Amino acid sequence: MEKLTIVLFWLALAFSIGSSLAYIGNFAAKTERRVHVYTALGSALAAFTLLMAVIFLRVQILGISNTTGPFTIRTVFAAFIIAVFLLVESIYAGRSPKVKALGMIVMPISVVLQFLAWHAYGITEVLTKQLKSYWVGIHVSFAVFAYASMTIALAISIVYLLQERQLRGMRKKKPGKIFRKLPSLETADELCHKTIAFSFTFLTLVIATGAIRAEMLPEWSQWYKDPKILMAIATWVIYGSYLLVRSTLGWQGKRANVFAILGFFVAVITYLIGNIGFVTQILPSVHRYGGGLG
Amino acid sequence: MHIIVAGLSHKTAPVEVREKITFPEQSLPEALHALISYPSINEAVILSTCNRTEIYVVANNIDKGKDSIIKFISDYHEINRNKLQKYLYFHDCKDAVLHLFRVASSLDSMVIGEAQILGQVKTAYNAAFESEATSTILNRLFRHAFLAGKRVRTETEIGESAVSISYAAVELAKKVFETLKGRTVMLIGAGEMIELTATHLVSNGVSKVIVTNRTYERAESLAQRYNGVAVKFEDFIEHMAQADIVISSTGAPHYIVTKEHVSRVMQKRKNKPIFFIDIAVPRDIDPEVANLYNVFAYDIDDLDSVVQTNLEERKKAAKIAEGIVEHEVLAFNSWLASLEVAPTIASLRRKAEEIRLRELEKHLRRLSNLTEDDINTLNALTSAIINKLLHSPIVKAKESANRKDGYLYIESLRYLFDIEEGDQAESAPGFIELHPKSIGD
Repeated sequence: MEKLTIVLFWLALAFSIGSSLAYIGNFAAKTERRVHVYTALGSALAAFTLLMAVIFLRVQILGISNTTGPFTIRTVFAAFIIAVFLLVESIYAGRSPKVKALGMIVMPISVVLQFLAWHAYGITEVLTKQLKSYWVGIHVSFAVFAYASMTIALAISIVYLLQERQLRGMRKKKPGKIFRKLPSLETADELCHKTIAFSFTFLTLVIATGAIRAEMLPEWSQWYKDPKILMAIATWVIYGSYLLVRSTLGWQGKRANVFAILGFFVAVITYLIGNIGFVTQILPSVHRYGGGLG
Repeated sequence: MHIIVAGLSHKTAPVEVREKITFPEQSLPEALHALISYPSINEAVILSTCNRTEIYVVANNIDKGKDSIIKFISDYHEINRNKLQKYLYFHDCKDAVLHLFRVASSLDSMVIGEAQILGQVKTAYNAAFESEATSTILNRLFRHAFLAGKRVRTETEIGESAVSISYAAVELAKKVFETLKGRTVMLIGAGEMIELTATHLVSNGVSKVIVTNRTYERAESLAQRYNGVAVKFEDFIEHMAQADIVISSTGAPHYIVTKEHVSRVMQKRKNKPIFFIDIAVPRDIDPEVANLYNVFAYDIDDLDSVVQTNLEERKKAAKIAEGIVEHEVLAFNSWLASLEVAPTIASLRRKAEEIRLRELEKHLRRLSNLTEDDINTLNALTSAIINKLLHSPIVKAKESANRKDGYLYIESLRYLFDIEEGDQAESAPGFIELHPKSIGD
């Protein structure tokens, strides 16, 4: 059975790489063949399905409390990134077919995460009794969703900035492939707004569920000193101010998108911080799990 | 039979000649009847657009066919033969096929990739079809040409991007706003370029038009055309905040929209993106406005740079398109070759010989006590039967091949004896060969 999970995992990786190459190829290609577009999309869907099957099988074999660990978390993360991307694709495909250019950024990120997952295969983490709780399960699931949609928001912001550069530099540099194949500023901006609103909602829930669980346990009463929690709150503040200035000051477009990218970098630090030795020595963290995403 | 095309286009004839030699749609049936009443011409299609007039025929003899076409045009338009011949070009057989496919794919057009030509070829063909001027060969040829044209359009980006200033404005606007549906456009000035661009924008879904002009009456009359509103020139800046797209083309000697104006407008718009197109020379809009947040401003040179890039892209797409066309020409020619008499006869003979040998072998196995002589006699006997039987159909097929409806007999022969289209592919290599030169030009 374990062999099967490994085979499925490698298959998912192969499909993800295939999908990445197909998205990049389609972007670079002169003519858009429908069969190539479906290959890219189909491979992404297959990769997602296989990754979910891997998780399901692992839970079946090892039991849910023994499944936790960096491999699982990163695999789920890789799968959810694809899921959010496919969700965006399915909503926008009819309105703005050029949104699929995002696949070029999103799928390689998923590939990298799968490699990182494989790197951590076999590392098991024994859960303390405080963590064996439904609260923690919900907390982690929400966190993965929040981070996955942040990644998509980052990809969209990059797309926005690239397209704006093209539009602004029309005189100096002739409009190229980027100009023709990327979606319009309006679509990119709207999509970025929606994904950030989505991640902000989930981030709020992550912080809330974490706080609730910590308050249940007297030994965790100092939870607000945990570096990861502080960083998560910083991320929350950045994304929150994005939403705020966008709606009140009308900061659509470039400024808002720069915010989105800044927010993502703080989120990446948040993601890593539980595992950086010197930080946890100064400020001990309960988030030592999941290779940084516990 | 041979496919011949004779014609004149923007490449060979000046406009004074082109405008004289045209066939308006309503006169086509009559012209087609006149054309196919020439004894050497079996089928005909007349294609007449503003940039080209071309006559496609199927004739038994190339020279006679060409001669008939020249005679037809010079009679029909009462033009001197020698003068006419100077402007005409001719292609026959596979070059004619290639020519039509390139025309239908818009590779031979003045603006490569323009979208109208395929429809014009269809109209020309339909007129000929309804006048019963076409038959097997031109029917198949034109339908195949539509297929080639459609493939080029869907598989390359040949017609995708804008190659005129006013289309480029629309293309750029669509990169800022996903769709122009429901947008408001402000027109400053009421000139021809403004009208042209406004028409493109409105046909792309712009719903509200605000017009301003130094002479208010002209603004009003233009506004009326697009169901829009006219505003006084003195205070058009006050109304600008409503506009998502501003197009300006006035004769003003200095900037009429300044950075201060626009930053006030942007405050009112709460920084919602705004898109300026300045097609006036000297410019109407201070180029500095482009540095304001969420302001996208372009002048005529920017639009021209978009057009130039797109033209280059079209040239690249055209190269891919030539490959597609080449492929389709091959497919058509292999069908056409099947209508040739010589390969058909060869296939028929081969088929008969195959049957004879198969049957002979089958029966010789049962007749085991035959001598060598007996076997030779049997061979001679069966060969004689086959040859005698095929003699008269082959002679008749050869005779009728030169007649007007000759290919009908060849087709019947293939049908009755069940000879496949692919059979002759090896036997008529000359027919499916392509001249690489003719594709390049």
